[in-house]
Parts: sequence; structure tokens; C-alpha cells
Amino acid sequence: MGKTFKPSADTIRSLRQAALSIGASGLSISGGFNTGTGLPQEDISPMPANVTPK
Amino acid sequence: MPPKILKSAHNQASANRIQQMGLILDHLVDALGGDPSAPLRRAQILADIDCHPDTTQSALMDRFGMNKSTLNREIEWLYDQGCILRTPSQQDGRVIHMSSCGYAKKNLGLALDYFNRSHKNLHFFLETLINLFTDPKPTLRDAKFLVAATDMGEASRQELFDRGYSGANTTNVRALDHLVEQGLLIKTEDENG
Repeated sequence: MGKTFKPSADTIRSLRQAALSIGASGLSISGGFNTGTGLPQEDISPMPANVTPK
Repeated sequence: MPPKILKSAHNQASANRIQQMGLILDHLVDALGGDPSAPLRRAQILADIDCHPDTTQSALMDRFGMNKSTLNREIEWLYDQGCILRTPSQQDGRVIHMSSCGYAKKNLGLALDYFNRSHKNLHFFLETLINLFTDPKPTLRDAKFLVAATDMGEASRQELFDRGYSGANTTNVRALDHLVEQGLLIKTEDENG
């Protein structure tokens, strides 16, 4: 296979952050989450969530 | 044989969120004339115009904080590709109103379906992606490579190309190498390498 590529921790963290907006309603762009939409987290492993809904 | 790739919004219910991000990027590419080299910021500007029908250039400048010449280039591109309509103001001929239209509006709508039709959420999504890059003009192609690599965990160059967008091999190679230079992808040698 030769050279392989994997995402950095920052990449995973940011994509996870971006993914929080998918399917969410009323997301605050300033960084808060005001709906408690219960976004599933398990499919964006392996990074733990660093943003929690209010 | 490359892994099965989700191509359609009809698959959004069965895709995980990382895969959904890939589908969203696909719709944004379609909204921008099928050009994966389009900057993420251009997609954000199109989405903003879609959110604010009949908006003006000065209003866009206020919302984005971009300089006039940079914004002008993006507006010209969107107009030339048939993504937006421009209509002179009846009150002031110097003012041009802009609205999204045609295939751009349709495909942007497919992307918005993933965000409960919320332009604000799409804006947040794109802003988060843009902020990840150190490059000042990250493209939809760049973002798709990152999403594909994250979805697969670890992938060969060819596997990433299979999941990315068609185009000149040199373009894809250059984009991938630039992602490594930015520290967004880590290149490793496997035991056979």
C-alpha cells in the first residue's frame, strides 16, 4: 500500500465541530448550542466531544 | 474495488455525520458549477445571497467583512456561472440587488436539507471548515479529502482520490500534499512502504 494518510487530531476535532451543525436547528454561530437537539456523537469517533449542548 | 460511495441526498438518512459532510460538499460543488476547486468562502457567499434575496454588495461586505475587490471577484464568478441574478435598484441605479437562482439555488437547497433548511447552520458548518485551514482559500476539494480521510481513518493516496473529485491527477496530488504541509493530514509509511 505504501504511504497512507490519516487526519490529524485538529482535523478530526474541527470536523466533529462542523458536524454538530448538521440536522441542528437554532444553532448559535457564536458557539453556544441552544436547542439540546441530542446530536448523536458515536459516529464521529475517535475524538471525544469538546463541545456540549447547553 | 473502491468502497461504496454515497452519492445522493436520498442516502442522507443512512449516512453517518462524516459521510453526510461529504454529501453536503458534493451538493455545494454542484451548486458552484461542478467546480471542486471553488473556495469554501464562495459557497458561503452563495449561501448568504440565498438567505438574503435582493441583497446588495455593501450588505454582503458588512456581513463578511471582506474587502471590496475580493468580494467583487466572487460575485462576478457567481454571476458569470449563472448562480446569481443581478438587478439594478429602481431607486438608485448604482445599487445592484442579487439573488440566487437556477441550478445553484436548487443544489444549495439540497445541501440545506441537511441543516433543517437553516442557512445559519450551513454558515457555521462552512466557517468551521474554513477556520481549520491555514491556507487562505481552502477549496471544496480540500475539504472533501479531509472528510474522506476522517471517514476511513487511514487511507492510501488512491483511496482518497477515489473518494474525492475527478480532475487532473496533478491537481489532486498537489491538493493532498498541501493538506499534509498544513498539518491537516499526516502521511505515514505502512510496513510495506
